[in-house]
Parts: sequence; structure tokens; C-alpha cells
Amino acid sequence: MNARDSFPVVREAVTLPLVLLTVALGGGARVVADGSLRFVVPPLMALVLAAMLLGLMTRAGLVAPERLFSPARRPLQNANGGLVLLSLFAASAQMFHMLTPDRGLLHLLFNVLFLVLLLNTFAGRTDRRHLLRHLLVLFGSALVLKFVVLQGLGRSNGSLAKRLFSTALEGVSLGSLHVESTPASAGYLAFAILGLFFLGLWLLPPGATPTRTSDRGRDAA
Amino acid sequence: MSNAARAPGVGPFPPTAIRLAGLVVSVAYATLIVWVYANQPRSIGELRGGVQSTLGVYQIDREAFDNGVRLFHGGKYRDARAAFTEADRDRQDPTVQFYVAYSYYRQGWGRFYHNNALFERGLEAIERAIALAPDGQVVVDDPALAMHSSDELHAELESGIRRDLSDLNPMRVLKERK
Repeated sequence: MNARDSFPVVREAVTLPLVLLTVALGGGARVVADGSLRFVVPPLMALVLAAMLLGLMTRAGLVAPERLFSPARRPLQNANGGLVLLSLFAASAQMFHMLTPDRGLLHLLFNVLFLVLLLNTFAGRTDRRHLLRHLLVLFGSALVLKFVVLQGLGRSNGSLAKRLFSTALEGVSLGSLHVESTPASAGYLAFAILGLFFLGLWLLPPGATPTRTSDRGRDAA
Repeated sequence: MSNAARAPGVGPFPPTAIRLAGLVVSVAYATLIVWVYANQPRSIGELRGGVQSTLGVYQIDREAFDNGVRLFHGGKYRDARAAFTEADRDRQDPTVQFYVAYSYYRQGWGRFYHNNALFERGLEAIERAIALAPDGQVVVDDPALAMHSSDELHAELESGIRRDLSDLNPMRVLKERK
């Protein structure tokens, strides 16, 4: 039994589902101006992006679905593994949803940006470590854009971000951009959820890197 | 036997027990998440109350509720609502929410015109009460009330907000508050 074959049972059955489900719960939570919470289901585009991301994760060896769900495993093991995969899909969808502005031109721009960057990563050859780095940069940038830069723009007082962007976007109506104003706690919540998502990705059972031949047959034997 | 089946357990717990416990906990957590998205609690208190209500263990503060009803019948609607809020902190009891809606109706009612802001808040409360009621209707057996069901109160609040030709009918001033 080598290192790749052994996958801690607690991690698969308890830790991973709880971490990913927490991301799925928190990713759709919106803190509104009066401090109350609102839970929003992910739009169709977030589901499409999540499906693409899962495909990319499998291709890069970030997750090995056959180590979580396969005919060689027992029904209880498949139930645990299947729940991890479903939770991963829900968490991924909610990550895209959380980091995308809810409506307006920026909603469209963020979705196009995510789509293009995922397709670009699909086009190249990437492995687990590089995909993790890529996603960290992608989601980290989106977090900064949505919760730091755009929130700075949305505030009524003239912050540095607002002055810089007002200059850069001279002539563009902020009304058409539809900058949403949310409490500062929303940014902190998003940061925690993002951290939890990456913890979940790091805990996933890795697959073979694209350069290695698949050892699925050996697992099944 | 698969590789995963050979995975060691933790301490005295065999892997199968851990897997089963993990599955039960995860499914329960997933169910809670679906419930949260379906019921939209607005605070941690509402979330706690909602879960308690679903499990059938939610209880209101009876003393505060009785005090609220007394204030309500005495025409002190604002104070009554404060008592109802005290009684039903997590806004999970349909009867209390019915009284909250009724207090908005009575306070907002006017012979010549109604206070739309209060009527709208009353409508929110009665819709909350209807959503909380197991069969979608709240019936309150209080002889001092003219309207006993949530449907009647909902219709009255809705017609009070709606603007139509009947608003111009001069006979409207003869209508009595319910």
C-alpha cells in the first residue's frame, strides 16, 4: 500500500464533507446593510463554472474521483466519497457565486473573466500544485476586486480606491456598473470562506498528474 | 477487498463506524443547509428558533405573550408589539405573528385613510405567520377580535394598501375597524 492509496477515513468521511458543506453554506450568505443575513442560491452560470472547475481539478490531479467513487469500493465508502464530490461541486459553485457581484455589468464581466481564465487553464497542461496556485490567484484577485476595490468605490466618502477608479473609469457611469455597498463584515466572511475552500482543496485525495499514466487499473485490482 | 476498506480506524473506532457516523452527520448538515436556503433565517436567533420549531421544541415566553395580548386589547399597540417580540424572539410562532400583524392593522387603520407603512409591516407579519403555520392558515379563537383567521387579516391588509376606484367611494368612511 503506497502513500497514494492510503486516504485517511476520518478525512474522507468527516472532515472533507463538513469543510466543503460549510463553504457551500457560507458562500451564499449575504450580510445586508442592517446586519441581517440573506441566503442566495447560486445562479446557473455559477453551476456551469463549478462543473468546469471540477473537470479541471480532475484533469490536473487535484482530485481523483475514482478514489472517492468507483465500483471497486463498498456502498458505504461510495456514499462517503459521493458526498465529498457533491459537496465539492456545491462549494465550487458557491465560491464563484460569492466572488461575483450579484447583478449589473460587473456581474457579467466577472463571469466572462472566470470563464476565459478557466478555459485558458484547460488549454494548457497543469498539475495539482500549479492549479492550486492558479486558483489562489484567481479567487484571491476576485476577492480583492469585489470586497476591497469595489467596496471602496461603493462607499459614500472619497476613499483612495474611489479616487483612483474614478480617474481610470472616467466617462463610465458607476450607475451602469452597479456597485453594491455591503458591510465590512461581508469581506471578512468571504475571506474566511475562501480560506476554508482552499483547506478543502488541499485535503482532497490527489490523482495522477497529467504527465503520469493513470493507475486506475491498479486501484481497481 | 478495496484499498479504502483496509484503511485503519481511529483509536477504538473501526473505519465502518467512522464512515457511518460521518455520513449521518454530513447528511444532517446538508439537510440543515437546504432548510436554511429554503426558509431564509435573517439572524442566528431566527436560525436557532427555526431549527427548534422544525424539531417541535420551540417555545414562546407565555407570560410576555399574555402581557402583549392584554396591551393589545387595551389599544397600546406599540407596547404590545414589544411584548410580542419579547415572547417570540425568533419570530417562529404563528399565533404571536398573527397578533403582531393585527396590531399593525389596528394602529394603521384610519377612517379617511390608512397608514400604508404600518399596513405593509402588518402584511409582512401575517405572511410570516402563514408561512409558519403547518397547514398554511392561522386561526385565533379570541372573541375580542373581529377577524379570526390569517386569510381574513391578510385580505384586509392587502385591500388597505391597494389603490383602486373604491377608494373614492364616500361610503367608505362608514366602514368600521375590525
